Amino acid sequence: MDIDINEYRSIFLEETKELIDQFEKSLLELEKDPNNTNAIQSLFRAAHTIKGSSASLGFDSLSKFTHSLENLMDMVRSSKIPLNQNIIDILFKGLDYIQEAVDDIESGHNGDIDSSELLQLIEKAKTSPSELSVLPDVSKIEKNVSRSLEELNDIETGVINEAFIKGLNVFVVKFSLAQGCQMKYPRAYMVLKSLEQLGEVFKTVPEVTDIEQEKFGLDLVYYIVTKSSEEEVKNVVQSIAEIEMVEVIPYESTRTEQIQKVSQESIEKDDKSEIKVKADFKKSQTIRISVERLDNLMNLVGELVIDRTRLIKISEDVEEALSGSDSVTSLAEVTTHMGRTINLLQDEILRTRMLPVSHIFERFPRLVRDLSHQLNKQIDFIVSGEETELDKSIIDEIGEPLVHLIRNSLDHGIEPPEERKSKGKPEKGKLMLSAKQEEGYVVIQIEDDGRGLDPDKIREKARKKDIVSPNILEQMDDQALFELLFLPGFSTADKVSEVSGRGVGLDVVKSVVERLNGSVSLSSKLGEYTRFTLKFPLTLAIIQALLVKVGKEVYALPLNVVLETRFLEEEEVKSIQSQQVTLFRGEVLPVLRLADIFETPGRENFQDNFLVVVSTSDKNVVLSVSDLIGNSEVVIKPLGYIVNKVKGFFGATILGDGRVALIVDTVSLMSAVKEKNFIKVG
Amino acid sequence: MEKNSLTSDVYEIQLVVFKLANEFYGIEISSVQEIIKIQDITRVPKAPAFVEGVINLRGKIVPIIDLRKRFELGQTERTKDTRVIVVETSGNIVGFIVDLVTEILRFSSDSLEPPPPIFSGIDAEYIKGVAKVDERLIVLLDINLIFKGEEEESLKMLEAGK
Repeated sequence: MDIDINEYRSIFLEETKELIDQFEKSLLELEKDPNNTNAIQSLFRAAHTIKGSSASLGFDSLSKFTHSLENLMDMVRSSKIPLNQNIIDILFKGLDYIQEAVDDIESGHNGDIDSSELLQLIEKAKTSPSELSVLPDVSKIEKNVSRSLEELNDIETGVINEAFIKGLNVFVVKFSLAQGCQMKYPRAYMVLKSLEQLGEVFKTVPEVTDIEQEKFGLDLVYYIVTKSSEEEVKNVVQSIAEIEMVEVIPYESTRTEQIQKVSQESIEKDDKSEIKVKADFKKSQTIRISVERLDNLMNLVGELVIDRTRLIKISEDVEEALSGSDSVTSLAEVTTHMGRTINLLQDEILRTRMLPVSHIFERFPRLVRDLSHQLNKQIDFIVSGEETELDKSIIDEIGEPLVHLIRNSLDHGIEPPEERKSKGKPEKGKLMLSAKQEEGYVVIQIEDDGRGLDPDKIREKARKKDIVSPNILEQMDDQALFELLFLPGFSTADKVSEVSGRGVGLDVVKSVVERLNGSVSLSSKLGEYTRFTLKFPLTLAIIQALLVKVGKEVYALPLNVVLETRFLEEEEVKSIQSQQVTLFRGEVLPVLRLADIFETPGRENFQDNFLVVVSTSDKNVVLSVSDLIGNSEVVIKPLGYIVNKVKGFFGATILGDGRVALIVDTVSLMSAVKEKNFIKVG
Repeated sequence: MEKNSLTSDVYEIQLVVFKLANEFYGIEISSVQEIIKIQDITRVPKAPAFVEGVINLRGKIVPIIDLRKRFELGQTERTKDTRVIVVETSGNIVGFIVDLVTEILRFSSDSLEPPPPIFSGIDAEYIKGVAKVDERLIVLLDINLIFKGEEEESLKMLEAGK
C-alpha cells in the first residue's frame, strides 16, 4: 500500500486541533451554565470523533483515553450522573491531556503519554460522582429554561459574518403575540413579511414550518440582516396589530450578554431551527493558500501602488504641458480609473491576509478561568468583537502583549472579593476584552473595574526611582503620570507576584505594539477602572506616513508615532545645558535636529522651519526638520543587504517621482543616538 | 569543444570585465543580474562609508556599494562611463559602482592562475584568480567573499564604536 500516512496525519492534526478548540469552548460554556445541553452534546461529539480518528491512525493511548472520556460524557448526557464541578475539572484535565498527546503526535511521536491517573479519576467519577464533588446538583433544575441565543449553525454564522463585512446590521427581533390572539400564524407571517422588506430574515425560533403549523406559544424570535436601524426595525414590527413586547437587539450585544432566555414554548423542539429565506447563501468555498504566496501578491500590489502614484504625477505633468488635448483627457481618465482599481485590488489582497482576532481571543477564557482560580478572584470575562479582522502578521505577534495585560488586570487591577464587597462593588470583578475596527485601524481594549491607578502612588514611585526631575513631576497631570508606567523597569505593584510583575512589563508591551506600527494608551480612574487601548494598522505592508524634508532629502515618519507638528518659532526653543528643549503639553522635551543626526550634507546652509513631536519607547522627543511635505500612504520595502544593519530605519519606500525615501524608526533611532552606535549586531 | 575538455574540472568561464582605478577586474556573469547607468542614489545616514546609498530598481530597494571605497582605491569620479553592476548572490542583491564596463570575456578555467602574492590593488583574500587575456591582467573577484568581508567590516566598525 502506498498511502501517504503523513498526509493523513496532518489532516488528523488539523481536525483534532479544531475539535480541541471546540471542546474547550463548550466546556467553558458548560461551566457557566451546567444546563447547556448543547454544550454537553458538543463535548460528547468532539470526544467521539477524536476517539475514532486516533484509533484509525493507531494512536492507541489517545483513543483509549478519549473513549473513557466519551463514556463519562455519555453518562452525563443521559443524566446517569449529575454534572458537578468535579466532573468539569476532570474534563479540563482531560482536555489538557488530549492537547498534550496531540502536541506529541505533531512532533512525530505516537502520543503515548501516560493517562492512567486521569483514567482512574474518570472511573471514580463514573461510579461515585458525588464523593468528591462541590455539588451544586444541577440535574434537577429544569432543563429547558435557559438556552442561549448563540446556537447558530455554520450557514447562519456565515450570513452574520458576511453582513458584518458588508457593514450591515444584524438584529435579533424578539416579540410576543397578544394574549388570546386568534390568528397566530398570520400575525407571525405578517411580521416576517414586513421584516423582509427591510432585509433578510435568516433564522427564526421556532423554525418556519413550526410557525406555519402554529406549533408555538406566544413568543417568537427572528434574526434579520438589514441596512435599517434598530429603530426602523422596531417601528415596523410594532406597527402590526396584536404584537406586543417588541425587543430589537443588535446581534453583538446578545453575544456578550450570552444567556438570553427564550420562553419554554418556543424551544419545545430540541433541534435548531433555521430557515433560509433567500436560498442564495452559498456555503463559503475556501481554499488553502500559503502565506508566502499571499506575501508575493502583497508585494506585487505594492508595486502597483507605487506605479499608481507615479502615474498620477506624470499625468499631471503631461496635462500641464499639453492641456486641452483629447488624449491628455483620456490619459487622466484612465489614470484615475486605474488608480481606483488598484485601490480595490489592494483592499482585496489585504483582506485575504486578514484573520479574525478570535484566533487569539479564543485562548483567553481558559487563561482567565485558570488565573482567577489561582488568585481566588471571581471574574466575569466579557469578550466582544472577536470577528474583527487583522493582518495575520499582526495577529501572530499580539498574543503575548494581550496575555500580559490580562494577567495585569487580574492580578493587580481586580480586587479580591472581600475587598470589593467592603468597597460596595459587586464581588465579581468584570474584565472586558473588545476589538473593533475604526477607520483604518483596529482598536483592542482591555478594561477592568478594579482598583484603578493611583496618580499619587505613581508620582511617589517616580520620585523614588528618580526617573523624572522633581519640578517636572509636580507639573505632570494624571495622564502624563500614567504614561510613566510604560517606562522600562517601572512597575507599580509593590510585591512581585507569581502571576505578573517580574520587571518585564508594560515597556515590553509598548515596544511590541510599536514595532507593529501600533500604539498603546492607558486611562484609569482610581477605584473605578483601568483601560488599555491598543491601536493597530490593518496591515504592516502599507502605512500612513508623514513625509518631511531634511535639506534636500526626503524621509518618511510613520504617522502612528507623530503626536503633533508645528511651525518652529525661535522663542519656543530654549537651550538648557547645550541641549535644545521645548515645552509640549507641560512637559520639557529635547529638540533634535534630524539634519545633525543624519549628518546631512550642507546642513549649515539651511534652516529648520518645523517641529515634529514623536513618541519613542521611553520619552517623547521633538525633531526639527526643514519642511513638511504631507501625509501619504507608503509601501514599506526592506532595505536590503548591509543597509539593513543601520539603525534608525525600518525600511524604505518609493516616492511618486520614483526616488527612494527612508522610513524612520524613531525608537531605534533614539536608542542609537543615545548609545552613539548606529550599527546593529548580527 | 576545445582540446582541454578531457579533464572534467576544466570549464568555460564568462566574465563581466570592468575597470577600477586603472586595473581590470572580472565578475562571473552568472552572478550579474544587469548593468545599469548610475541614477539617483538616496543616501543612507550612518551607513558604512562604502555604502553610497540605495536606489529604486523597478520597485526593489537595492543598496549601492562604491567598490573603490570598499577596497580603499580612492574616490570614484562619476563620468559618462560610470556604471552600476547589479549582482545577486545567496539572495542578496547589491549594485557595485565601477569606472567602466569594458566587455564580456570567455576563457577556459585552466588559464586561470592563482593570485600573485603581492598585488597592488585589492586584498588577495577576495581574489579567485588572475587571467592573462591579450596582454591584460584580469583579476577575478570572489563575490561571496566580498559579501562576507562586508559583514565583518561592519562588525569591526561596531567594535571601534563608530
